[in-house]
Amino acid sequence: MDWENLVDTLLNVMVFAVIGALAWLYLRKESPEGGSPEPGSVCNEEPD
Amino acid sequence: MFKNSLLIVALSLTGAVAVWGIVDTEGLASFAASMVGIMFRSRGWFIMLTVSVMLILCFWLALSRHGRIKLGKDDDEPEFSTVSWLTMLFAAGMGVGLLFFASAEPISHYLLARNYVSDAEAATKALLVTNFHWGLHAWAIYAVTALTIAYFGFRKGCPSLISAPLIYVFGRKPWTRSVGWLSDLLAIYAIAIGLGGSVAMGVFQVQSGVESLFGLDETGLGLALAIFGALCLSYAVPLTVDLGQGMARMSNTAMGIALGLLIFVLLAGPTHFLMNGIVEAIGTYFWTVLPQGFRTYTFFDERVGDHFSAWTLTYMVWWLAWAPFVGVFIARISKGRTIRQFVLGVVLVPTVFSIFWFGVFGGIGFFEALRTNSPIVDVVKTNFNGTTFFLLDVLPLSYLTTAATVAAAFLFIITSVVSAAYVLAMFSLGGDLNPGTRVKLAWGAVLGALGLVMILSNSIDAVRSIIALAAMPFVFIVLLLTVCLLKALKQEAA
Repeated sequence: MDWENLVDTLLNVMVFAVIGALAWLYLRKESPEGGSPEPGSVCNEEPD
Repeated sequence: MFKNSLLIVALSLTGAVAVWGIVDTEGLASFAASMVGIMFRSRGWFIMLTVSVMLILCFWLALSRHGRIKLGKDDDEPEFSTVSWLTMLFAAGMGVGLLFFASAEPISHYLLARNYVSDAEAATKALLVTNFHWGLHAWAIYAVTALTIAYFGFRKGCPSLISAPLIYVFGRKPWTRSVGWLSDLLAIYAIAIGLGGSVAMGVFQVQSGVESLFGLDETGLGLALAIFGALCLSYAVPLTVDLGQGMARMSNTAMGIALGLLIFVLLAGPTHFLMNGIVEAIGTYFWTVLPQGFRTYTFFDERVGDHFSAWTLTYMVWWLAWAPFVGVFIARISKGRTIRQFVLGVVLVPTVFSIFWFGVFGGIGFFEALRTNSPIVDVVKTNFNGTTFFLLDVLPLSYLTTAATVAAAFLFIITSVVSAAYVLAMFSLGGDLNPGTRVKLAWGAVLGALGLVMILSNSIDAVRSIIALAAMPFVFIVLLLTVCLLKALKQEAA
């Protein structure tokens, strides 16, 4: 396997991993404290 | 201002790229070109699959029960009339690129295609590919990003940040804070580099227009830098004072000039030829648009593969680079619309306009190439930036239309830079809707410096490589936003 092919494989493995992670995030059940209990109460945050 | 880590990192990162580009323009351009080459070779399939999924998702959202959900509270009504809304979103999404690529792009595709098929078929294919680049898929990327920002902003009360949907859906956890922070940073980076490219493209366009107006040859970097200086002075003023409706008027004027040019060329040019071409383009496009989105040209020779990377893949990541900026703008003007109205308006109407636009400007190019002895093909090869002006020259009142094109390009860049500086300041200050003048000016300076880098590269190919490299990571962010939107919609429907 030459370097070019190795880089190609690694870049694609990263893509497969991201696709897998996104599918898992979509399918997993959120715990009650995971989501926002009241709209807007979780996403409003003061900057650091 | 200096207590905000995101602002400091984002300004430092984009500033470092600008400094690198000014000190070693060729080094940055060749680095970007080689990295983009590797990325496109490995991930071309992923980019095409992503944009096709975005389009299918848009139509599914419009047609499903989610289509009835309002972007806002259930009793919110749209702030703008449908016509104003469509005009504003189109001006935000396309801008100076429309003028720049109007004729040059279809003829560039034609030059390649005629090596494989007859000239007539090559012209049809060239228009199809151009419309594909500026059509449904491009607007689907904007639509999904804007829809997510608008849904979480107006319906869930989140700030207009790329990270907000993630934190809303998955809660405030260490990983969501880290990924959210990174998403905001990547969005800022993509917007800044993307806008720098637009500044350069606008300057090249104005430069070619000025050369055409005054009959100048090979003005080189001197004129480009003078135009760039005038541009910086022009956008510095709106950054320091609130012009209120002034910016909207400027954008509408630019769009009005573009529309006037479209109608003028259609009527003053070979109208029947152009209308025939438009009708044919509509048929070809809507009949083949979905399979076209899945085409990767993998079985063709290297020349086609290179052209596909240099144009189609570059365009798709370019739209991704603009998506957070345009997304915020489209979201802000879309409060009170249903998801169905939103998606159909954002995706369909601008696409139809683009087909007319390229049908007219590409069509006049093909008329010159196929029906006359005009050297248009050589002009595209040797003076790509000046193609539109060359074609305006064959029509009556060319002095006036050239001046109008230059004016429209100038106005498009000013409105884009001022709006982008506002969005960048807002993103980097955690969603603050009234960012301070100093932060906006800092972003205006960074955008100017990035624009200068790309002007110094003096090559539209270098500009596109630098943008593509900056925008690549945003493919993943758009998909993450999609997951957040789908989860929230599922939760709301339950």
